[in-house]
Amino acid sequence: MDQPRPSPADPRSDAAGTLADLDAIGRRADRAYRAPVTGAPLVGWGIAWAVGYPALGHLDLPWALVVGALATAVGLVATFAGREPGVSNPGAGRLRGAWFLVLAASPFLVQVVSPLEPWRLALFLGALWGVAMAIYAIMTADRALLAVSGGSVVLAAVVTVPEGISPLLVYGLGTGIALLVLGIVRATPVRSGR
Amino acid sequence: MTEPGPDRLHELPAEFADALRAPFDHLLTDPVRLRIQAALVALPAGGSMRFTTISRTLGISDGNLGSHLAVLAEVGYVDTEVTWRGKRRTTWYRVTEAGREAFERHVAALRGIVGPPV
Repeated sequence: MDQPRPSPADPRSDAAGTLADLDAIGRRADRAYRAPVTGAPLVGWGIAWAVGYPALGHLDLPWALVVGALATAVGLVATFAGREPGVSNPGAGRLRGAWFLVLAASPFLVQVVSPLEPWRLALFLGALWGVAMAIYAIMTADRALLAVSGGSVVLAAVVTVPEGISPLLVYGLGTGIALLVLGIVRATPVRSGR
Repeated sequence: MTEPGPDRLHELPAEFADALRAPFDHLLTDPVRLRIQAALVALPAGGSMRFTTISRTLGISDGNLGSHLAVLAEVGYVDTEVTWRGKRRTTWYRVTEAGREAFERHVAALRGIVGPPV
């Protein structure tokens, strides 16, 4: 049996409709804010992880380094070649500074834990950048990025345990695909209503 | 069933009673202005949005958006900032504290109509 439809003049359903519309607008504005940082850049870094880590684990020198450098270049281009964002965030400059700090600190931290096998060093750096992403996600209340980056840190540790798997292949594909999917979702424009 | 009057508000849950007391903001009774405020309030504190991004987010024409933004800026609900990149001029819009409070009061009043969650 059909339910009686509320009259358009019903103030309660009118108010409920307006609140639902405001929620949808809030989500679209939130997407507009997040897309420049976690849209195309995460697509680039997802490709970098998914291609670069398996290359480091399975190609011989110098090709492993060449492919790794190209994969990193894809991530950097996707991060810095985007169009001007439609939303400005007063904290963006400080966050960028924090990222540069993490990157600049990486060689020093590598020196602290050396000597390690190259594949362990690669996983160590991946986990370090995963922690940096997770901190960024907490600062910007980004739950999806927190789940992906936190998962990446855990995965970096887990792949070192079992015998008979390729740690860099599993870590690279696992983290890379997760970043790629999140980036594609964020980069996809949301249809505006009304 | 008797509707709760002002003298019976104390019988309602405190949050619901507060919502019923909240007045509507007459400027935000216009749906376009309310939607503009919703987009700007959703940004992180201090964040601002370009004119074209607001227009795309809300799916409204530039002319319509421009006239309503002018009203919101005039009453102090929205702040504007102009930046230049070479010869290209960009206007950014940010919600003010007064604008955020007015929006929250208005939304509280709307929630008051809808009623408490079942």
